Amino acid sequence: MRLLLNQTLIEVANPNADVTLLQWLRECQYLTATKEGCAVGDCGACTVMIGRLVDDGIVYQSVNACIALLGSLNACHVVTLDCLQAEPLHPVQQAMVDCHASQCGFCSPGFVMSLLAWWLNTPAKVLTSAADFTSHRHSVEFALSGNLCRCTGYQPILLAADQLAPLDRSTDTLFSALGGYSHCLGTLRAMSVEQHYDRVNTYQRPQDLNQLAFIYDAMPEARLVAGATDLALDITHGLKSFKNLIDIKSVAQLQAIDEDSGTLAIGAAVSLSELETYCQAKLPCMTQLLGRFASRQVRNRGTLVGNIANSSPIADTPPLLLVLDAQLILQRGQGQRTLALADFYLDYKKTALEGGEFIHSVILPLPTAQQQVFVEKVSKRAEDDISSTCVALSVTLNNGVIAQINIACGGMAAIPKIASQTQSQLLGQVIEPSLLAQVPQWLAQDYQPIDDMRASADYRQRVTANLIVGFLKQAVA
Amino acid sequence: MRKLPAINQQTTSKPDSVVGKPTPHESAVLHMSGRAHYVDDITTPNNCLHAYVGMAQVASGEVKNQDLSAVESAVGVVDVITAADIPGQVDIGPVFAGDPLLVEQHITYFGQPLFAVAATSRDAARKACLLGQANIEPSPASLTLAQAQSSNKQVRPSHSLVKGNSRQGLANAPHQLTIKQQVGGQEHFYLEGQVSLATPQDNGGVLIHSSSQHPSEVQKLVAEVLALPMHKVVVDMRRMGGGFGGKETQAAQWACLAALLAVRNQKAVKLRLSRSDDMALTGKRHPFVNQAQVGFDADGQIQALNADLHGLCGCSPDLSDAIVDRAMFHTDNAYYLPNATIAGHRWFQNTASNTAYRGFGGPQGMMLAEQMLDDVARAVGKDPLLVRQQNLYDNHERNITPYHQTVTGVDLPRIIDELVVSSDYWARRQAITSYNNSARAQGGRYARGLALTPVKFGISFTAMFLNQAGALVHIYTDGTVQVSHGGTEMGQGLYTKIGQIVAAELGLPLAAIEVTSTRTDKVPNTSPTAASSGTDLNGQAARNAALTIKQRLIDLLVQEHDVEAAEIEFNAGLVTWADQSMTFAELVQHAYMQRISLSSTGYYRTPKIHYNREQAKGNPFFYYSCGASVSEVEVDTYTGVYTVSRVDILHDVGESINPAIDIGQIEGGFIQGMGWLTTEELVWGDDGRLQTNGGASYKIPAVGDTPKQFNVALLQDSKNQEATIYHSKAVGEPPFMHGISVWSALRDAIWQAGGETVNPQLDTPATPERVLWALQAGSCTP
Repeated sequence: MRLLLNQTLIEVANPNADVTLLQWLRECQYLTATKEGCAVGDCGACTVMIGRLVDDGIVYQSVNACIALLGSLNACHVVTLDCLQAEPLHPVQQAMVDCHASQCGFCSPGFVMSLLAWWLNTPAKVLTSAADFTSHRHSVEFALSGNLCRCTGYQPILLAADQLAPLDRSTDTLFSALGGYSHCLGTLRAMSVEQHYDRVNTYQRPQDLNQLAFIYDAMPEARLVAGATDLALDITHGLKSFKNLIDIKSVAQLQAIDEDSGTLAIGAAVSLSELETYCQAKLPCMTQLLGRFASRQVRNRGTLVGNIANSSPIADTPPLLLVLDAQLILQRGQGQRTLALADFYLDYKKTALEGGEFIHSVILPLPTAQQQVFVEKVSKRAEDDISSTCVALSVTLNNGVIAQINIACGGMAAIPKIASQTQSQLLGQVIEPSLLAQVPQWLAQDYQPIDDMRASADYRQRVTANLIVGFLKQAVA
Repeated sequence: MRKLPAINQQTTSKPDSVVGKPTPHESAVLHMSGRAHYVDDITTPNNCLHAYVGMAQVASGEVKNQDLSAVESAVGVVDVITAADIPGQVDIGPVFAGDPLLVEQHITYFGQPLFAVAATSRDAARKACLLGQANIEPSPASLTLAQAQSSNKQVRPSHSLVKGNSRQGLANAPHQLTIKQQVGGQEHFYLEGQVSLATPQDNGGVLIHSSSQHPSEVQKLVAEVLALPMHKVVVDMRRMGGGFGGKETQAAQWACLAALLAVRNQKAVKLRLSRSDDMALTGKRHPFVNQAQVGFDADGQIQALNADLHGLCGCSPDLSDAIVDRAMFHTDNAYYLPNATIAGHRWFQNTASNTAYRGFGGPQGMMLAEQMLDDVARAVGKDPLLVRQQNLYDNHERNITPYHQTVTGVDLPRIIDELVVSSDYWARRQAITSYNNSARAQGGRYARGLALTPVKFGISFTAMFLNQAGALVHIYTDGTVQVSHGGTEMGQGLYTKIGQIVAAELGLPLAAIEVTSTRTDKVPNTSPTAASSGTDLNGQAARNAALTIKQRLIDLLVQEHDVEAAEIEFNAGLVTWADQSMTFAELVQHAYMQRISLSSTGYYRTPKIHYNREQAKGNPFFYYSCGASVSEVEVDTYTGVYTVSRVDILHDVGESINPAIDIGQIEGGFIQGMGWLTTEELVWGDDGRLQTNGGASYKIPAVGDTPKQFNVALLQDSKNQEATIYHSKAVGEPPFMHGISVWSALRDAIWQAGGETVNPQLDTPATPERVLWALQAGSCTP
């Protein structure tokens, strides 16, 4: 495989399937600007930028190098802080110095890289009104949601971003440090047309659907991988080795979100960040939920389908998908079938997928004009946390009567689960205090959550009931 | 030769110079460029080995035997050692015994290292460590206070402070209340984990790069473990990626293991823990259970306190004796207690040995004081701020602490008065009350709370002998200067301040000063960089070293020119007297030609302090560092989730050496303190295994947790009345305790949400779940 590392084209001969980008940078390339803080994507000290060809240009995104598999970066531009060593400093670096934004400095390279990605992707703006300032800070918090700092308390880092907001992006010195934008673009284009496909490769990157279906059908024991934001933890934390990985990200047919008569078809390779942007106008509750989903770095790599296929009981998106009656297109070989998401989860970490079968796409009906959709994730920390409970509800009222209602929760059972008892009790009823008072007892029939380090079962029950009651009150208000 | 006047070494007035300026951190550009090297970034020899440890899978038990054959034959493994392979001392306890480098027989916590492996890669070492087979006879683990109490198992004896007669005082007080609070521990979560690199030397010794706050202790312990004299061991520490107390004693184990494997194999050995193992194997801030009876009058004046502080120490003493003592020393916080009995207990658990953490027990003691003030205020129906103000120490009569030190130089009444104005406390109090009233009337979802809490923190190591420091200054013949000192840089800006101090004394620009890595072969027998003392101690030592050389240069000028010493000025790289001047470099070259020594050590010890622990009386602290904070919160009564919307802090750092660095310490300390009391929850399983062993489950504050309005100011026109370095005040730990105002504001919100009927019990960390239960106890959830 080949990749562009800063301004150098590098060929990597048949890398092991489970080598991470961070390991490779530090141990093989001797580039130590990228730090390891946790090796599981929680702290952001290892943040780098990955550039990919999109349409006519390169899109750069922040990524955790510790959980990005090297094999997934074929034909990508890997930008590390090692490229910004010249004086004068890059505006992002200078703003961080000016604002005293480092103390121990160990997290600083990661913050600089996350801010650099934010800077490249955010037009300059003079912050004149309070609303400007609020939306600016919001975008910065999103950009830095996956970077932890234990020393500064973040205030000087936020001030550095404030200083950067209005600066002319054309002063940017990044691309001159990288040999010029056209050099980068040209190299990426050249790499994208080359085929480096090796049969003995343990990290396979099929380019089209048939190829994927063929390989996986022939090798159902291989693991499918998209962003690897969860799978890589088995390597770095679980010390497992993977001999065969099949990366679906390059499959052309799986990369789009298609909309047809009020229904979205979301391909398996679509990243959570892409979905987050797409849904801003189409499905704001999804964008809002994704704002609480892990971190910017993880959303840049992780996929909606990965979040489903991983079949974790605390996955963030399934409750919302369930109340919207999402369906999955599953494929094995040349055959496809459609399955309701509600029927996909069988038991803890057990799904209806058969050997060699994979999720092709998610079919997501958008809410009707009368339908109200609510979703709320509850966790100890707002950013990058795992939910104690995640509650989603869709409801259609007809003259004050509940004509349709779906309720689903994460963190409440061994699988993301629909509250069927509660739903059926509420259907056809008028929302009034005496009805709402019964929600907790119905919910107790639907869910028997567990006590764990995140929350007690009692808390989960109580908060879920409170939120459902709150949603229904809001729906009639 | 005429008699030369000595320059006044006693003066500590601030020279007109870089001191007091907000100069950037000396490594700021390196940090932002990724060029700042941490231990794991040091280029190692090609044959460097990587070490890791095999960990016990029980919290308590006896090792009958171990079969390590599979470990030895694993891919890449070069060496495997157990306790039997340690040539010298096995126990590396810093003050008291109890911390074996590797388990000999008794396992005292889950994950405790049983053996160590050196392999050709870190991956190989980690994987090999999973292959160890230990035959262990497990025994019941003691994990709770109740278990420790029922077996009366303490790691050190209890100790008490007594002032007046608290029993009589309680009996005489018109009102009494009792308090029981649980205060959680805290993981350090330094971004750079524990790491050491040991390189064998041709003299049979070893050079160690260790991410440690205490290089001298690492040196001593490595020497003891290896049965080497101390002069064969050198420890080098340039910078840590965070310490916070977690690398004061607990960096030593990894350095000792790396050193032992390096010397055995005569190859460099690096040992770097993974995040989850770092969290599982190293101690944390001590959880406490505080119990008290308080006596007070109808006005809210406190008359007596009888308190028991139960520190949960983990499996060994480590620094727990001093930590529980400091908790006891801070149970008064800023308040005068006419009668007080404060007992501190040091309980054993089968968990990693709890250790130093910013505040060193002080925050846990202070939590009792602040709950007491809120509870008393609610009992007498007054705003907690008023009750706090009326109970403050003054500098006249109500000024004797429970350990019989007279409080002086504490300006909290002024600090609070100024903060009340700058934070607009009373108008916001009114607004919040009316918001809550109308929310309650209309069944609104949110409740708001406000609280102001002060901090008074004693400065000095309570272990008297640690209050000393050394430095070494070299001036080279081009006029540039190198400074070494005993302190370590962990991000707190110590090197920056030391550079400013030496630059100021020699009248040089900062660029002329290079503060070099902290090495045991440059400055020996150093104290840990801890207790907020780094600048106070090492700054004075560095200043003294610079002044010694400066005096030699002055002597030379006086000798050669007709000039009084007092006329000679060192400023902006020039040395001037009368109408003459020369550059500093010229003077240095001239001095060199005249065979004047251009190198000097410097030394400092803190004056005035004394403490008799037997009698629990004395002046353990040179002075106090003070401040106050106001926090406002908004609580969601559906979920217990909350946000901190505004924080105002006014903090006294005396005459700041570097206001930017000091403000950074205050902001960062506050957020860390807030995290301790809110989202940072440690959970152990019944088997004693730490369940919250990573960033996914242990939540330190993230960027969105920084208050939207965050106003931090330094107290103006303030000067430490003691002769500290330029009359500054220590700043590392004290601001941590400003986080308490967030917890107090949460209680205020819950109190108000419940219609001011139920005084909320809110143990910490005050997670959304604990907040929700407290709301429910006040019947204020939907």
